[in-house]
Amino acid sequence: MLTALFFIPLIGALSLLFVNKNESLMKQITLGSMILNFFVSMVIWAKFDNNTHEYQFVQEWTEISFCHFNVGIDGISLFFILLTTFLFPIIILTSWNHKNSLKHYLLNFLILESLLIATFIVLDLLLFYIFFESILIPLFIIILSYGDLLTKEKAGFLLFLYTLAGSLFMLLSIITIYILTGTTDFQILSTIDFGTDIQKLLFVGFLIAFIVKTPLIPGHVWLGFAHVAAPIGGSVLLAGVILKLATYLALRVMIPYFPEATLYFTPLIYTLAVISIIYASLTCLRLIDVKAIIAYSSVSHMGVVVLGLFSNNLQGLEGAVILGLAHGVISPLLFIIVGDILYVRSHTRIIKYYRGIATSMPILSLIFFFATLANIGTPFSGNFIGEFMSYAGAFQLNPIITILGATGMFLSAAYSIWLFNRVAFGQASRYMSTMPDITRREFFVVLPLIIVSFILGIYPNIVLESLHLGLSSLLISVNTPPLKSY
Amino acid sequence: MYLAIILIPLLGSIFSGMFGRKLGAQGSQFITTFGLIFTCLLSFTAFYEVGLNHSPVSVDLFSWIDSEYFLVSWGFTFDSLTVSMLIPIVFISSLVHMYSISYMGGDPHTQRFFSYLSAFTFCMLLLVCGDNLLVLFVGWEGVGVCSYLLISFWFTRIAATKSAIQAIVTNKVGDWGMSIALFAIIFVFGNLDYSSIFSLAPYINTDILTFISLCILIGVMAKSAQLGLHAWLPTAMEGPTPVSALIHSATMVTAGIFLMIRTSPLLEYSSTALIVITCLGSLSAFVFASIGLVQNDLKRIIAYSTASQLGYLGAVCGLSQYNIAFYHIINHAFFKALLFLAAGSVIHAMADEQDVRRMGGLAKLLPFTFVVMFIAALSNIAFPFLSGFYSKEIIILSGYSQYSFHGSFAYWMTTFAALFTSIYTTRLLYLTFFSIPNGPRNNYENTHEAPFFMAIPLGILAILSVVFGYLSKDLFIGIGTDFFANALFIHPNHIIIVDAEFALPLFIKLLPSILTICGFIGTLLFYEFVPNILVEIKLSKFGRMLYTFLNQKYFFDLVYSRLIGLVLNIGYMTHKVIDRGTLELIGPTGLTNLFNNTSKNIASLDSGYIPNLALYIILSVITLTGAILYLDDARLLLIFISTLFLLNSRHFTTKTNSPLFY
Repeated sequence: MLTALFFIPLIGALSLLFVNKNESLMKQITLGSMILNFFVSMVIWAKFDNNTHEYQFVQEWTEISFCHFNVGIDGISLFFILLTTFLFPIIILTSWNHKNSLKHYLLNFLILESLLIATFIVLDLLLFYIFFESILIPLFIIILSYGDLLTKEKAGFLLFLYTLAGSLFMLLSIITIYILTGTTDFQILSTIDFGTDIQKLLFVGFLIAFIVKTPLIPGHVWLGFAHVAAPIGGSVLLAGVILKLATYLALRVMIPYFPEATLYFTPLIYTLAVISIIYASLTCLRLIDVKAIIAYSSVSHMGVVVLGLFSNNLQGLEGAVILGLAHGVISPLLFIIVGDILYVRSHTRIIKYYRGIATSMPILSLIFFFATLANIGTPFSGNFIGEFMSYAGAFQLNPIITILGATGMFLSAAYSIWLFNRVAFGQASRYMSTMPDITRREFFVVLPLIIVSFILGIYPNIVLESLHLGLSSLLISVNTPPLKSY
Repeated sequence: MYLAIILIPLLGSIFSGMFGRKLGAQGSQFITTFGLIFTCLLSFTAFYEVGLNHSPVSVDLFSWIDSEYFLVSWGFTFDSLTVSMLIPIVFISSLVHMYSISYMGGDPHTQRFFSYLSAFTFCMLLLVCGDNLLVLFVGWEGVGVCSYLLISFWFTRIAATKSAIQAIVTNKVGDWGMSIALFAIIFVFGNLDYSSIFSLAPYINTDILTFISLCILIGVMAKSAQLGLHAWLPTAMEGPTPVSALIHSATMVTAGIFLMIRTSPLLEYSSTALIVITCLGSLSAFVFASIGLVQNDLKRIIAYSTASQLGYLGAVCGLSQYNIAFYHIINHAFFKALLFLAAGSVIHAMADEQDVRRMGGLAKLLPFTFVVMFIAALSNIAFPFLSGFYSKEIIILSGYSQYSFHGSFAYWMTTFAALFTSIYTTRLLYLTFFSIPNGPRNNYENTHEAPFFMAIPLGILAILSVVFGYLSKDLFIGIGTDFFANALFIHPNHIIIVDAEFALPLFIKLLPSILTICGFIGTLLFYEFVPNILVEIKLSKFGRMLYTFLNQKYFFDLVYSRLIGLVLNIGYMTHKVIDRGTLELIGPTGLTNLFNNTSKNIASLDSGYIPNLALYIILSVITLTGAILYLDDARLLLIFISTLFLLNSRHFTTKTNSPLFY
């Protein structure tokens, strides 16, 4: 089942190689394989057993040197896979009118989907690292080949520099783990208890990668550039799934294998998270590039996710995952609205040119308003549930830092509403030709995103049910004596 | 039936909003208004069943969040507090719908307007009907959003959208405080259900309860416009007048007070929080009433009056008299909605003129509007034996009967606020209806009395503004009434209704009424016979200072503007100085420059000057052998190599004409 998930996009990519010139066939093949993948993942969700915290759908392959290609999922990875397979058809539909070397564009996305799914399903630390990093390559190609002409080179450079620099330390940690234990298999590693000192050292390696990928404040510079420069598909993917890789990294590796180090470093991580929330929100108030504003709002929201992740209680952890999913739906929606629907009509991303689009684009304004509300965590949206639970969890660990971090609530309201107001309200601008409202294709692209956000907001239990067991095993009780130390 | 009360406005809103183009303006007017009237009838039934017959209802729909011990469900409870709150909400909402049929009839976006109005009613119903604090919070945020939408209804006007932003951001600050209170409640009580929180409250540490109560107070300050987070309410008057009547006077702004009444079992155990609430409330009442004295915009005067009345409500909550607060909410809702709707009628008649200095002499032209507005104004100033009198009087007196410093503070502040209220309301009446006509002649020629759909709500509300207080006094605040049963909680030590009614000195008891009537008659006399004295007072040095101070609203806006400027400057700093400066220099740009320069420097070592080359060879050989042989440490080698970064090409000779160049 999981292997099918991994291979369907690859098969799609292979069959794409034999198609020449027939662009609509190419798009149909791509979309078809992605939708098929989505259905497969839905079937997996339906067959998923909520009453065990073991890996399910496990499939072992022959041993490659010391690491297995060994796949399986549990409650943690299930929803990241669903988010991935859900977003990819939307990405393709969003860039349906893409013209510039379409075949390579589609190939890139198909391969990216495979790699992302592989990252979430492999049960081996080294393979996890390999797939985690390999995502950079297609992403780099997407940004450099299809990105914004002025900034794409710098963006590609920054993307590579930052994420590689971060991941280098992660690789060192992984090698150290292999040297210490002789294995990189998740299931074996989970039986091993590292000593406190070595945990701290290993944790720092992962933490650097985590800070860059999340991103938290000192490592966030690449994100703004990458989002601004990337084509719409790339932006959606970055905001939707790739930022969640760090969340997955924390849930899969950092918290379960280094519990004492997690507790030891939590104050540092919390400080960075709170700085991220406030810093990114304040920056948003002064940016004039709409895509950059949404990119920085991602930084701010991921700060909230981090608060929940390291809160060491179930409310916080589940809130972090829900907020990750909700943000993975709403942030793409905002990118599609400003980066695609508005951009193809007006060809500008500078907020100062926009004014009063509500007069000529009422439906778009309504959707934009829903997205804005969801982004600031208004009830009935998944973001509300996620934010609320994350903060509630973090409050139980550290009230003061949560009170500071919660200022993100009204700061995000300030910049999001300001953005919406500037773009949608006011007299229609004389300097911008009247833009037609959204087309049927665009409407049906954004509709699923809104629906998912609503479902997450009104009945989050469909997600929570599968999360309980997987996440409760991450809770750390401080007094547990170590079983075996290195 | 009970769910229908909540859902009908939602359905009306969805139909009118999403299918407005199919329904047409009249279709959506009909659907939403009829839905609201039907809801109103259902709420009366609910009031009869739950309120009068004492049979609380609770409806549990389905589980919402289920995470370890943190369980929240979509549950609704209808106790006597809820059903009594339904009356002002649904009743006034349906009247405002009806009023808007005529008032907003010519607007091209009628469907949108009615959709927003119904959505607001739905959110307000969620707020009062929820059986846990999270459902309340949904409504709490929802009304903020609807208020944003309604204030910016005419979205092409910059002023309207600006005040809408101000409203939602200020409300979000309140939501911040409110959600911190919720987090603390989850932390301490492990749940958000009213039943569990309230039954556990007596056993919880008072300091924690004080913290929670003060956080709730931040939420209340924003939503109910108490001093500090009030600035959004007067500017919210940019929205259409029916909106001001429904949201910014009758219902939404009382949500904060409702929250305090609802969480009375928490507040009652924290005396510190109660003192803070009392002082803040009475100070708000005084400050806003004094600001109202010198405002010139018809709607803005009424807005400050609302803010001042909300201060009264806050003060009386702090004095633990929650049933009195609730009684005043209903009375206030009736007469303040009437005041706004009548003001809307005046504005409508005067071609959208809002400045009272450009009106005057309308009493003969708009007799019906004049009569209802006169009733509303008298009720507003608590003229004896009108609705407002019964509730406001007891609020002021309960301050004195607390026999404590903050109680007396509340008494004197609210008494003077009552005087000011009487003065500014009379001034409003005089300038609008009695004084010589000051507006353009064209406006007067085209005045018209309120049409049928506008007149009905005015008439109904006028009747209620006169009689409701008298009729329902014993039900809500009568001595020994058991109407509220367990819906609100007054600590036995804080019961002062007997003192307030019977034990006060006669002078103290009559002072508010005397001041009110003196203010009423005095203002009329001053404006009619000696208006010049007022002008001279204003033109004196002290008078000018005082006038500026009040007219500029105690300089609150200035302070906020500076504060926001500061925050924006910090944002500029984080963006330009840190993001594009420091981080760039130690990050990508710095790295690029470092490697570029180093490689350039290393390249420049190869200067072609033979003695230099010889020197490099000797130096390298010595260092490397030294490092490897004697120190036996790879780190030294690393240090050696990294010194290459420190090379500076300036130190090397580049004289190319020397014979030693090869």
